[in-house]
Amino acid sequence: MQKYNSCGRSEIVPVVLLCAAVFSFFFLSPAVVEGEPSAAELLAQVDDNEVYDTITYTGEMIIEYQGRRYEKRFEAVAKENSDSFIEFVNQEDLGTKYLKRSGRLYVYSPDSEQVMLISGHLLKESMMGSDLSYEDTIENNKMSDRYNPSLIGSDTIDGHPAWVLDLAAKKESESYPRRKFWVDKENGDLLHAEFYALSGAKLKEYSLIRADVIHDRRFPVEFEMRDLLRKNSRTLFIMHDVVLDAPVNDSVFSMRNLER
Amino acid sequence: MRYSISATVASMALRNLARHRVKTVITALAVAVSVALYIFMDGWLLGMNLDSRRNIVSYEMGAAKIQTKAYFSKKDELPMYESFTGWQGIASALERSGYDAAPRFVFSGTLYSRTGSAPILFNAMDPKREHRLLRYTDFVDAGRFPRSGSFEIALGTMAAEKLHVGIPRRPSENLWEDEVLAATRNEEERDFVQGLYTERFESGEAKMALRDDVTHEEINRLWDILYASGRMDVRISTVIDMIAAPEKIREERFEEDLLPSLTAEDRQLIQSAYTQDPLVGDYLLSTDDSDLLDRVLKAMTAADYSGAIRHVNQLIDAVVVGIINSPNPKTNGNIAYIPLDALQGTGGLMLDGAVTELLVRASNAKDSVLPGSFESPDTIKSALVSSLAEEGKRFPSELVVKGWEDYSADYFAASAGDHVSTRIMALFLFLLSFIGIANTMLMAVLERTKEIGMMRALGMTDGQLLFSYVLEAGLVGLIGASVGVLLGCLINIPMVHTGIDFSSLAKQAGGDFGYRITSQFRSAWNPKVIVGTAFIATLLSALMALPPTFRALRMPVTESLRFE
Repeated sequence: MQKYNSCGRSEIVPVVLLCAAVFSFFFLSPAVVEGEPSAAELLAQVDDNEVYDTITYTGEMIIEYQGRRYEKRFEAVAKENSDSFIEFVNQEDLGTKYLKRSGRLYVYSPDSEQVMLISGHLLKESMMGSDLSYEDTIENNKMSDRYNPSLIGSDTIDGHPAWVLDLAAKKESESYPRRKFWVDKENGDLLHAEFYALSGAKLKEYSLIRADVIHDRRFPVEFEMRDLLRKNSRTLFIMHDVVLDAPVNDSVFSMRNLER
Repeated sequence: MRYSISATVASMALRNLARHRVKTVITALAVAVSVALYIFMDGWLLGMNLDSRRNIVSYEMGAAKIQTKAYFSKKDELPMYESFTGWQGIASALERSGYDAAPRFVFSGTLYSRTGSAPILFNAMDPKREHRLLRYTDFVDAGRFPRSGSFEIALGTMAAEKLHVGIPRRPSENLWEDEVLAATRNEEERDFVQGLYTERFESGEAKMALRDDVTHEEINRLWDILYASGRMDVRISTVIDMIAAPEKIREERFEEDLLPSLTAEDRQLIQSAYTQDPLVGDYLLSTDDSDLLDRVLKAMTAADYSGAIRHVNQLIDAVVVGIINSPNPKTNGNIAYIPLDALQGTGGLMLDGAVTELLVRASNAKDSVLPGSFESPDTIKSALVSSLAEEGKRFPSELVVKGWEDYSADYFAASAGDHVSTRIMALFLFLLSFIGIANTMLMAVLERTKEIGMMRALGMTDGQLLFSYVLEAGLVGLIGASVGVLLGCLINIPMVHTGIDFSSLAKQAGGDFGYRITSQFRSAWNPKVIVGTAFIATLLSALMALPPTFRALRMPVTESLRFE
């Protein structure tokens, strides 16, 4: 059971990728699609907007949990889906750092001055008491590579007309075996998303609050996440000074940087 | 002649004891207290250790476990993906050799109830086999043990209290009204529930307490009422760990992290399965050969490459049907038991027959006896190999048999720490009492310096005088040790039979303080230590007389006679 042999043969070669990107840029943009777009086109649009090579930003998390409010600020750098580095700068958590490298998550606590390895399944745990798990904050894979989408209808989210996509994971090793996306009919923003467990139970909800245009793409910079297993809880995630796809020195993702 | 002189000297020592009665009594008492305390503490530690060991074997894991070697090396991480299949054949082979076997799949997760959540260690098990091998199944405090094929959970008492699941024994008045009384559906049920609880005041707070004389039938009916209200409904949030060869690995991660952690042979294997993209430099999986992929996965997991491990979110609706409250606190803490067969499909953990461990115990084993040579890992493995060979099968090379001691590091650490600290404390007490004896003997010899001079002048040899004083001190020690042994044994009798109730301490420690005892901490008899302590106390007392006597004997007789 726990062995899932491969994620299928990877046939994606750079030329195909390049063609796909060009194709999606010119032909799949909702602005040029007339009538009902295909589910694949909508998902490709979401990927084009949200998937990056590298990202640098200053983050803010406002956590409301059971009547209490916590604010956390941090600086984050990430590269593709494998590496990320987060350092908290708010007074209570000052100096707490997280490093994800090759699927391993390390935490540096300034109190104990020690680095701890958090084993795999703890990546699913709440990050600093928020509604986001560590993996949620660093997930950066193309949805179209991982899910088979189907267009299941239209809806309206906060006055914005949206297409509703049902995403079924291509492989059974996918973190959320099923997702539902509400994609803005006008600009392709991912307005709302739902994340489901293998059993079909809904686990989390995502709602976009604001997307900024960065390098000709609409990138979500403010959103709300709700972990439905936590009662009376929501987390507002805000990104400032977002820099996408700029070169990032690999030394950022090192143990030396974590312990410094 | 020599005998009569020795007898004279001995009687002199005895008379001296009587002459200095107060000194004798005080010194003997100091020895007695030390000996009694040592016997008491040693017996108590021994009792706790014996009970703990028996409880680990009888309530937690049996005499040994069979796991994969890879799982055993990473057992603290609970690596689901290092499980194994085909346990049924191994269990049958064990049964033919006189052992019982019980399969388990252990995983961690969070249990959500209506009111809260708690991290829980889940043991997915076969209820019938579990009942045959372990005793905690007999200690279902309320409700019943889960049945095969259902999403039913038996939960540890402490987790149940934390999650407000099960029957509350001493709830606050508000909690009782909101969660118990509110669960009733009519007046008759309301009267019934009200009759089960009495009001008490504890630390100025009004509390409701379940009556002590409540019957089993009444408990069952109360359980049914609370069950119908949804109080026992829970959700298990966990992740299913799977291993899958990553489709793409970044160049730096491939070359800096993965390759250096592999053996030369595995490095070649991985390099044959991945091709480097000439433009971006990333490594892409370039094979769909299932055999090769199997080997690639084995190499990656052996190298502990976590990029190959995926975690699938799972949420399972379940219901608590029983609360475990056994004499082993490990079974009563943040732990849950759920039927293994319910978790096989996508509604569970997609186990497909896999288990993480097979517990083993001799079929005719007695709970009061610790595993002997028949239950040693080597004997179990030999029996298993022979039994499988009779069927033309082989013991899988990836599996390993490990004894219960290999899984009880927390207990052994606590026990070793206590052992050292208790011995140091006892030695300190001994030291104090023997400093007392040394001081008493010094004073006694000094007081009698003139007397010593006179006896030497009358012809008594130094050896006879030395013997007299050593015997006197030894007799003081013997009297003290005898009283101490008597006192220690008298204290030990109720400690062995009844013990001391430390349940509140155990509860404060969350039931997890190393020892596997929940409430009554009982002592045990340790004849070797009792006799040995008495002997050493007597011997040490006797030796304490040597320095002052030597000092007095070094003095010239004429000076001794003038000594004031």
